[in-house]
Amino acid sequence: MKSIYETLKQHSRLILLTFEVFWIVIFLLDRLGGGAGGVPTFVYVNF
Amino acid sequence: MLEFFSKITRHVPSTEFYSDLPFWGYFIAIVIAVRALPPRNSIRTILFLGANVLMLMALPRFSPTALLIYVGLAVFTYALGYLLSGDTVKTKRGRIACAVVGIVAVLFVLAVFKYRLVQELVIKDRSIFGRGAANFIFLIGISYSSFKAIHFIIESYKKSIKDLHFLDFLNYLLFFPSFVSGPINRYNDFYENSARARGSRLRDDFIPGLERIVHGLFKKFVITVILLPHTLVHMKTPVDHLPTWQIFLGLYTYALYFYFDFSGYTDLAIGSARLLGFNLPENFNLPFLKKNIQQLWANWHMSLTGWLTDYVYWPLVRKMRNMEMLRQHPLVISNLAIIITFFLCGAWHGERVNFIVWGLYHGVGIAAVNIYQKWKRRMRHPMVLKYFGSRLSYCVGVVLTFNFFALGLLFFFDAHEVASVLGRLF
Repeated sequence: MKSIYETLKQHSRLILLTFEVFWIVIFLLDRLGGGAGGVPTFVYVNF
Repeated sequence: MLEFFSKITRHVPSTEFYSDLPFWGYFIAIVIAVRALPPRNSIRTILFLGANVLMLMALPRFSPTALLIYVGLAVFTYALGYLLSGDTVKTKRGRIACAVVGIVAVLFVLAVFKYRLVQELVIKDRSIFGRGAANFIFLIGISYSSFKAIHFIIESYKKSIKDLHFLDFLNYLLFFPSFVSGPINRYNDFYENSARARGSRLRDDFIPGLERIVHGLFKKFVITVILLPHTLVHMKTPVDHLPTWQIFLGLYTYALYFYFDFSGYTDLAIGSARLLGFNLPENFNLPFLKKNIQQLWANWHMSLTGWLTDYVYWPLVRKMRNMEMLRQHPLVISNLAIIITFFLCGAWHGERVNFIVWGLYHGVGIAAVNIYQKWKRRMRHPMVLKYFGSRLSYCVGVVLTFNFFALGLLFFFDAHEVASVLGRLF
């Protein structure tokens, strides 16, 4: 158990990045398929 | 000249920064071209300037006239900086006059291209701005560029600007990753932390830069897309007909949406800048986990609050300390300076009265925290002291602060909507 925790901790950055990339790809594919609609413009662009 | 830039514009397909595919195509090409040259190569500086100009021209609402205005602003600011940094103007009075004229002129440009009322008074013929310029002309990036220019003038006055060079200054002002929405970086930091100063290569900056870009894309393409439909602005039912719990949910989601959207943008700007060999300052440090509104603001849009602290708050405090009637009241001085600073912060966000009320709301909130902190320091009861140091006190603070911030977002709505929501809540 401790070694699993240590491994997760050691690779936390990689795990986080993989998780993020996975969901970015899913949302982009969904967007391309017309499901998610357009990406909202950045809030602070018009300030 | 205008025709030349118009020709360039026609050949650059427009793109929104960070959210469109063409942007990333241009960006990769620029990174490869700029980083292929040695960091201290002067051709790299020129190439980088060309890249900055082309990227700005690719912005959908950026016209050749806008570019000329920015170049004019840069020439004017740099000339003043040059005068103030050297010994050309010898008297203190002359130096102050130069700095004041510069700051007023930059603020004038900001006011003309940010506030509709000022623009209507100043510019009669808007056709010079090209197609689609019949209505109000908002100069994209002016809020941030003007603050960078003012910073440059003030620091030149203090003679603290190092390595003054026009092309470097132009690249600083037109730096495309932070041009549209910051972070508001400082001139010296920009070059002291650059790849040119560090002598770093692309392989040193590649992983950290890419990591930030992935964080930013995740916030923008995943989290904000999930949050947006649940924000108060996007709810289909009119606010009057919403149950109270849904109004709160809409406000909380709106606050989170604001955070993820803006911090996502900042991640993308910081990551992109890093790949180009520049370090931009951080803008957010977990602001919604802070226990009072003062701390929240010290960790929210940090480059703006830092700028306002250095160039508005502290000069006001120093001025007020010289006033006989205020000298003995440091808390009054601090609170007055905070309220004025946040009033200006609100005005900077937009011309509508809502923004000013929003700024005052936060200014008064921080002033109240100041008074509360003073009262807290007088507390001697062991039970109360134990509570202040406890995790419970921290959690209560975080919840109250988040609620205060979320409620403040109501001021971004129209006045009658704000009245309607407040009527439903209280």
